[in-house]
Amino acid sequence: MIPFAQLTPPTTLWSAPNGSTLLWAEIIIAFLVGTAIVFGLAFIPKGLRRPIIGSATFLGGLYFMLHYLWPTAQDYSKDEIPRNSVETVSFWLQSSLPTVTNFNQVLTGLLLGLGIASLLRVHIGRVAKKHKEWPYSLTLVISMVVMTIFGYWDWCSKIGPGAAKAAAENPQIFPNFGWNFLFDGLFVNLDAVMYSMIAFFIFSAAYRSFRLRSAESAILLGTAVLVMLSLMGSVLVGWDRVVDMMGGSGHGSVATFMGNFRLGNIKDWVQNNFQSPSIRAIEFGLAIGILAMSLRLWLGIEKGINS
Amino acid sequence: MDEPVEKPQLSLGEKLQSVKRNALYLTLFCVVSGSLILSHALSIRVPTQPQEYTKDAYKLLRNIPEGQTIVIDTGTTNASRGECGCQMEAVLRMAMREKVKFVLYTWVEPQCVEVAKSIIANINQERRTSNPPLPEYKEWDDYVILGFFPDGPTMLQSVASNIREAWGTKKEKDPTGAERSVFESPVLKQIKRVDDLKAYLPISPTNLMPTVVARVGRKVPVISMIAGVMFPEQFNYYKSGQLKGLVNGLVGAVELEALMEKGIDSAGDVGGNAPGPPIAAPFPGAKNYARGSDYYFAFCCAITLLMLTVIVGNVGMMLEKRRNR
Repeated sequence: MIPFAQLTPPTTLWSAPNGSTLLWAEIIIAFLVGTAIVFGLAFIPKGLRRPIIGSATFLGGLYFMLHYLWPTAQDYSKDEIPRNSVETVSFWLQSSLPTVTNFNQVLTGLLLGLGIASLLRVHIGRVAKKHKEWPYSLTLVISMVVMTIFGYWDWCSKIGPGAAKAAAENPQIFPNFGWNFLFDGLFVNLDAVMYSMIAFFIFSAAYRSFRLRSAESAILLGTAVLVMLSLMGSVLVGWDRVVDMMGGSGHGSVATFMGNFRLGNIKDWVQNNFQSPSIRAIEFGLAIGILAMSLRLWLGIEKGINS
Repeated sequence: MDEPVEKPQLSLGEKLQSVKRNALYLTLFCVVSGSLILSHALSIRVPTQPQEYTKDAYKLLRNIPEGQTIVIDTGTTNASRGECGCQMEAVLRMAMREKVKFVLYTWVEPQCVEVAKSIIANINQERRTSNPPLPEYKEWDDYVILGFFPDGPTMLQSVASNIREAWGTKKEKDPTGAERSVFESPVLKQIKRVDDLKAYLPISPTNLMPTVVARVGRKVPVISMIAGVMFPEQFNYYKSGQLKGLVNGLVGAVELEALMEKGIDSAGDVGGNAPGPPIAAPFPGAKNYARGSDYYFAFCCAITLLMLTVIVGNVGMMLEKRRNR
């Protein structure tokens, strides 16, 4: 068995203790360098932009393509020495994956940051110019700032031995109370309300559109009703009891025949013979489309919707 | 002065076809709210008939040995608390009763972890106040939270390749408050490879399946817990054997609660008494019927109302057709 000490990640530049000055300095430097690179890209001559982005995309895609297609080393360990060039590439792909993964996490995090920056730029601009419906923009900006402040304050107040437990036992501490009020009290409920509104639209749309206008619509409506009935446990149980009383229970040919009329079996038949195959076909079509589009993006053939 | 325009008299068929939107909304609101209150006040339990895919999920979850580790990949927000929230509660109750350890993280939305923390806190509260009181499930000793991964697919690719390196940078506070690698915690100490995990549970209204199945599906049993609207897509993965169990929205959560109450006997029957050790034992005397069952009556009432309004619209259309003939 491999000793545990070998399995713990090695100390790296970024493994300084959480909250330490060194880690903060590293984060600030990395942030500044990252921001400089992002803004630096904006000053690249237009002619060079496409080749740079295309090359980065191609290299990124090539790495993951190789990861899937190149022979994978089984039970690879870092101490092993490759015997040939195939193994050299394979070992390199495996050993570099955690680094690439971490890089991707940081890059995606940076993209989230860019999104936030862009959102703020647009909405602060609207407030400054008293654009139509600017109060909504102001609400967004204030909510974002307040939530960030309280979220971070709450997190800081829970650092240290026993701090999290103390906060849980005394929820009236200001930053914890503020965060709970904003997140659990407001945001979470607003989120639930937004989603539940869909039910009203579905209800109204179903009333207006589910009409028996043709044979096709009758089939669709009939199937929908059967599936909806099968979702209602009491109907499902009651229906099947009636079928059982009519000879559907037990064994033998009558029971087998009557068993076809159990609601669960009807639903399964619809599900297995119509719903699943049709969705599978759609998914295959989608997958081929995604593959084609991915290839176009990877090879830099895709020109974008505007061109 | 213009003469007042007389409104044309609507026939019954026309009236039935043109119920105002606001009236529909109000009816739905009253029916759902009323049934939800009634269900809670009278503890109404709508019977269920657990489906094979839910039973498979329960069998797998119920038979995970004590002290083993599972992964909960959450995408549950409060937008989906009626479905994935109920599923998450049922899974956490089971894990805590069986003393199964779990790793929790998200790559869907940062808020999912906060929502999951609230659910864990509620269930811990339930355990503290139960009679007799049960021990709390503790972070670090019983579960670890890895937080938010902005790029989930790459992280999962890395997990499949080398879980120790993929999560190697993640740290948690131990009971003394010191920050240590999550692999030093009792939850992940024994995990050397992804194959050592006993189950992988995406609990999310979004379709995580293509990503999860492609990356870790061959190494660890995956049980998908999804919103009802995603069920048809995910069913194909279950049919092909890539998913070892499937829990379908609120109905699935209710089925899971029913299975926790009744169990599956040695003959494979829910709540049966066949001789021999059960395939998946129930949790007798514990709080098994919970939020899912509370919501289910309201759900059934809403579906009934939906079907009634569709019938009303169609009757109106037929009356109108007959009148115009």
